[in-house]
Amino acid sequence: MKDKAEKQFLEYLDRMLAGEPVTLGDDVYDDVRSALDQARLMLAYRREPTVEFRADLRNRLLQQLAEKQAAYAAGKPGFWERFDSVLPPKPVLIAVVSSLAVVFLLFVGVVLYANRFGGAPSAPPGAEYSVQLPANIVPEGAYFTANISLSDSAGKAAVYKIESADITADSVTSLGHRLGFVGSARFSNDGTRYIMTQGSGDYEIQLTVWTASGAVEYGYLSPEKLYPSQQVQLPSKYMAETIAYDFLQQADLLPSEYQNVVKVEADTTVAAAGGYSVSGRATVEAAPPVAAAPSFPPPPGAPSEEPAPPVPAPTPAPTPAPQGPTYWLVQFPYFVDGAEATGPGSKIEVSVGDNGEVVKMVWSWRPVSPLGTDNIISPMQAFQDLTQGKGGIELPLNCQQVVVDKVQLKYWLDPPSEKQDYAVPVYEFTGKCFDKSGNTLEDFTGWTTALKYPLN
Amino acid sequence: MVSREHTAADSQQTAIGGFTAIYEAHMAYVFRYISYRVSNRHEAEDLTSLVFEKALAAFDRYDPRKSAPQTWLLTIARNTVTDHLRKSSKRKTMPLDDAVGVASADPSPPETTETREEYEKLQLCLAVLPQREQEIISLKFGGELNNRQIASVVGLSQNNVGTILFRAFCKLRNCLKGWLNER
Repeated sequence: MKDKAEKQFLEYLDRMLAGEPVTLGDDVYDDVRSALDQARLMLAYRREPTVEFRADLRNRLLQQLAEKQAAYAAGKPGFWERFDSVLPPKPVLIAVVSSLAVVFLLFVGVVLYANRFGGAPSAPPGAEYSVQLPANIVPEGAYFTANISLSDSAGKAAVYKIESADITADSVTSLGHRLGFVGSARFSNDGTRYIMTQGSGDYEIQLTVWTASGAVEYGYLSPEKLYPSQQVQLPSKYMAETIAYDFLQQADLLPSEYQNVVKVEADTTVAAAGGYSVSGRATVEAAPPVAAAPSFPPPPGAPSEEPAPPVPAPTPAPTPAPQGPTYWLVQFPYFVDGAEATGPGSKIEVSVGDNGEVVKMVWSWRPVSPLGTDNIISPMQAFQDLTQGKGGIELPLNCQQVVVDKVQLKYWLDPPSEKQDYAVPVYEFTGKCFDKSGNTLEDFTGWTTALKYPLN
Repeated sequence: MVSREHTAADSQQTAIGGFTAIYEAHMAYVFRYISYRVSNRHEAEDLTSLVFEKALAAFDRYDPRKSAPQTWLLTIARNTVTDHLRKSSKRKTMPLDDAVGVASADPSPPETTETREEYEKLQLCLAVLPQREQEIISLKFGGELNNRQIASVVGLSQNNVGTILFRAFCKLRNCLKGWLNER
């Protein structure tokens, strides 16, 4: 009961903090209800910085930046001053040094020309890359082994530039209209996304578009459609794929790779997900996650993401069934120029629920263009990095043995709320976690950066 | 040919742009986090200024590959607040019942007497929670970090963060309930 209450509290709390209207049902534990009341109070009394303070601090910081810059400029001699100081005073020596300088410049020119027109373009400096891997949470004493042989050969991999998203109120409003919304999009209070809502109270749908990435989320605020308290009638898996395809097409959100419905049927996966709501007191655990990548966004009641064993769709019944899926999760794999993507910003998922209704959609797609190549470390080196705490991995506290079954080079995509300029390769490790008695605890996914630093 | 000085200046310019962008995007989170940890707005403003001055000084060493800007700033904020509280030793020195009704130092407290009292009581109840619980609540509500990010800032597992949050709110409820019963 305690665990359930905690889970319930955290779900409602996240919804509350995300700015969603939260209506507590009869199923909510008293402890949770009163704790949420305190949370509301806490939120209501949250202080905001004043406009004056914000501007004043900004000015002070800019002043400090300017001083820093001035100190930097004053403290270091210019290139030509330094060049003058190293030139020998005698004309003969000047001639020799100048000749050497010309030869050197010619050499540099040839190399640059070859790189620019004869070889692969170089990628930008590494400082511009940003990979927000999850935290590294590994219990003390846990040890890593690999069930596979890991190559120790390093290589090269492509780096891609992510096209910036041009999200405006008009573009979001147009998208909303295509999905049946009326009215105009409004900017969220925190300035991170545009929002459109349809309906109110017991029936409310929301469309959210993140300005940093252009990612879209569509779904019901109420009623609960992913975890309903009553029996649902699901379409066939095949129908679910078609419904998802039609929905994306209607929204004009089908990536070019998926314009052909045959391609959709070949590539998408359909997983059973959901379970009945705790409000029906006929709860089942949600289907395990389909992919272990950090989920975006994390609304409570969101579908878990592991593939579940296929479960037949429930047939209509007068009373709620104790278990079974409540929606089909149709997933469209995300590729960066043919290579598989990973991370919280790499998903297109359509949740098809009762009577074939699309009850949720998460669309996170960033168009890319090739930028160049860079050196990458070997899978063996990446594995060592992971074992030394340099990657992103979250393991249960009682995990003692971490067995890696698979290593893949993929492209990392940050959460939709984050602006990302480049898609860079990471190594993705998947495998199983065991406790000290050798019992399987759960599957895990971990990542390390693949680029070799310092970059070329 | 571009001289070394030009390249360095360009990097400097990029760094300035990067820092101001981080400031614009994350300043409010830092301020809100600190506001939950200290008693009044002036104190929160001073500490927020200090956090960004520290961040500016350390910006050369900041590696976005290692942590997101928000997590980085909130880690600095957390250390700054901890240091401040240790130095000032202002906390937990006044019994709750005595403290309620004392005029708030916040220049913009809630309007009515009732809500002001409720607000002050909430602050006091928050202040008597253990440090770790205060930190996690403040990171959640002020910093708007998810449980995974909080876990990385405070060095706990994600599950522990969830458990501590729930437990802390149950304590807050008991604290406020006890006060209401006594009125």
